[in-house]
Amino acid sequence: MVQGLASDGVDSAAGGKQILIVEDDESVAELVAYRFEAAGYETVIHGDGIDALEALEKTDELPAVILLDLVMPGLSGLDVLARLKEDTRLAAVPVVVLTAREADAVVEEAFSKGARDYVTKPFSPTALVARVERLLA
Amino acid sequence: MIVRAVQWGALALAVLFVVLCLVTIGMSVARNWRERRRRQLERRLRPQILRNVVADDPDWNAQAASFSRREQSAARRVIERLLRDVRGSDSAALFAAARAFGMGSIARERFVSGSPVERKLAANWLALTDHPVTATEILQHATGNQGVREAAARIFVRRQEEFAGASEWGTRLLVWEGDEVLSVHGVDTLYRLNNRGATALLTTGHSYVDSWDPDLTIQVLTVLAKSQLISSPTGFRWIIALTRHDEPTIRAAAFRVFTQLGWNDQVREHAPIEAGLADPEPVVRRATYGVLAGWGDAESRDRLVAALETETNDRARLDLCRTLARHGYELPEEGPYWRWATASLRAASGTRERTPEALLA
Repeated sequence: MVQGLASDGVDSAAGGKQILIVEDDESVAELVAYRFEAAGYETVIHGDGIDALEALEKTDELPAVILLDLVMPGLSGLDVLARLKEDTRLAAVPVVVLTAREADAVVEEAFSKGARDYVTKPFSPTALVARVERLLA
Repeated sequence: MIVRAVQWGALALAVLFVVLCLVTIGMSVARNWRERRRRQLERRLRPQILRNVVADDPDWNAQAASFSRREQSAARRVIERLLRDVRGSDSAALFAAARAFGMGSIARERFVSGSPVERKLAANWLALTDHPVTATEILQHATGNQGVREAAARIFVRRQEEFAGASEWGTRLLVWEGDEVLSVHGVDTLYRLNNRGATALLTTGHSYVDSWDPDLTIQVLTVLAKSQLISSPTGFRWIIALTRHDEPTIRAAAFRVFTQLGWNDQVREHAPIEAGLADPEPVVRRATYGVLAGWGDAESRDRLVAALETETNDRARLDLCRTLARHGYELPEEGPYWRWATASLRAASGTRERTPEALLA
């Protein structure tokens, strides 16, 4: 788990809301975290779904949004999504999925399992921040 | 004497075996150690690189100059991974980073004169960076090896807007020679080049289909079935011809191309649906049922209902029932197929438990 990657230069527009990033590619996860932290969010990164679920079960403070990569080793993003939605406490947290494929069965399945939005890779981290802010507005 | 020689021979073989084992284990440990060090180095450099990516006016040249050769190599790998997944304003910063770390010039040099493996990796970098490269150069140096051709075709996908006719060039690279099947990566590249209008693939198929490997033909037809097709019926002539091919899997794949063309009356008129429904092979009939299901109009539904009277193959009959059930058609048919089809649909939609007992109830 990586926390608080770029804590300097944070404004309070986002009110310190936490974004949970579940992404196995550390470079991409950290770049996304930098962009969110620059916009005033706190970020937590998990490299796989099992870690993320365990951390969520232990914490009292739920994230404002979960960014979830669909293709990960071990537990897939879709499995993580299904488990999140089975948990009454976690089910309300909006999930945005990151996927390498657009408009196919995987995206449809993600929506049917409760995802609120999706972003297709390659993606713009800056635009992702804007989409999440619109989701939280 | 002979016994002694055999003993020495056996001993020599045993020693050789032990040495080989030790060398293998040693190489594996060394590779693992190098990999771990590489990852540690990348982890150390990544924050410095990312700080520059999000900075307003980063001095990439100064950063590159401050890195050792080993660090520069690790930085290139970090930048490569970011370039794969990132676009928008951050990708402009990453292009600048790639230039400062010499990725484009290294890639170009290796693409022109490297081994096939080096040329393939170089093509990947050329696809990701904005290093100047012409279509002629790509075609000239991407010959002789399918892996290199597939990687080079990816340049036309990633940098589509830079090349007039990117779809034609990339498609030609992938299927022109036609004697080897594509990898999964190659099929995906072919799809990305053609999914928003497969004119390039239709035209190339018209000219070269006779020289293609049968499995490549199926791959091309599968891509066409998933792509947007806008063409006059003449563009589909070679596909219609393939619906009469000797090989049932090719006939079935050819029929599937028509699934998304229900809106095109001209093409519908020319699609040999009756031949597909009467085909002796179940795989072809099932593909034809899929086409009619895709068209989804009353006439197509009536043809599917009529096929229920004649279909004798279990799997095809189940497909037929499932297709009709999916379209809300109610048919109180005797026998298990209809029950199985409706039960499996209810299970898939979550209205019924997905258990064998539930399916058979």
